[in-house]
Amino acid sequence: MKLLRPLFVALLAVGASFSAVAADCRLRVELAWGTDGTRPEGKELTELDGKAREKLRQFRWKNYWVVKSETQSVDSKEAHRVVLDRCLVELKAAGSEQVEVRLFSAPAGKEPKLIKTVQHSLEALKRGEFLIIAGDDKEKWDDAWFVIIRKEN
Amino acid sequence: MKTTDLTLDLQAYVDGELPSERRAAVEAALAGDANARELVAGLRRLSELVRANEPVLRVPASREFYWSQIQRQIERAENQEATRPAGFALGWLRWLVPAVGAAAVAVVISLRPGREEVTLAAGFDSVQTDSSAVVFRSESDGVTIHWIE
Repeated sequence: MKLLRPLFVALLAVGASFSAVAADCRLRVELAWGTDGTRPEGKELTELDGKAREKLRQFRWKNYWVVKSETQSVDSKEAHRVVLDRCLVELKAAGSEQVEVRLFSAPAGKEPKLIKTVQHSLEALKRGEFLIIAGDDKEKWDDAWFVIIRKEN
Repeated sequence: MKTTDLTLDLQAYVDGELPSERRAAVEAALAGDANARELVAGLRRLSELVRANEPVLRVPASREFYWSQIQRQIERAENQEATRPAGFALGWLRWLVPAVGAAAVAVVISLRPGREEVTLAAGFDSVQTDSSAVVFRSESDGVTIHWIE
């Protein structure tokens, strides 16, 4: 038993340090809409901030409107869901250095359907890097959607 | 001059593609032929209309983004070709060549100067589901983009 005690303590320490890594990281998850059109009337959409726009500079849409923005902490024990507009994102720490991002499409009244699972460096996000999952808008030609994930300041 | 020859010459005349001696001959013919003058006027209007209303194709991403996609497609095609029987390769190429050509045209249309590189993010992120995506990572921009196709 005496022999096992140091091992038990070490395990506790590792677990505690890992929880600390995950717990101190809050991520902002945003759904943005890329379009050449103007802000749609009757919807309270804000413009995407300059820092995020700079990350999207490889694209050529004139306007990026934020449809929804939420913050969520990353936890290794359970996945946290962020419900956006017609899609949702699940965040979970995968090991001490990665975050697993699962993107679902979530049409109204239907079961969410998994679109993509991505594992990305948590350290990179903490350093200020952005993770973006994007695609063409299937309903409106020439528009696109962007799920933007970054560290919440 | 036969009617067909004259019509071809008039088209070339409107397009400014006639050599000088034939241009002089056409101009002489035009002076005495009202129908030819009307045809020339019509061709000029048509040319202006086409020029003024030519659709402008816009590619939403930068040329680096598109070139990376093409590179990725080629690499994917090469990998699949290596694992498939030889008979399938010709059919695959028949599809790939025009697709790459069309993408190259799109790139030329979208050319704009002065962009930094975007590199493929091979090995940085792991993607686990089947929906096909192209992954880009720009170290200098501090961004990784998964573009779902």
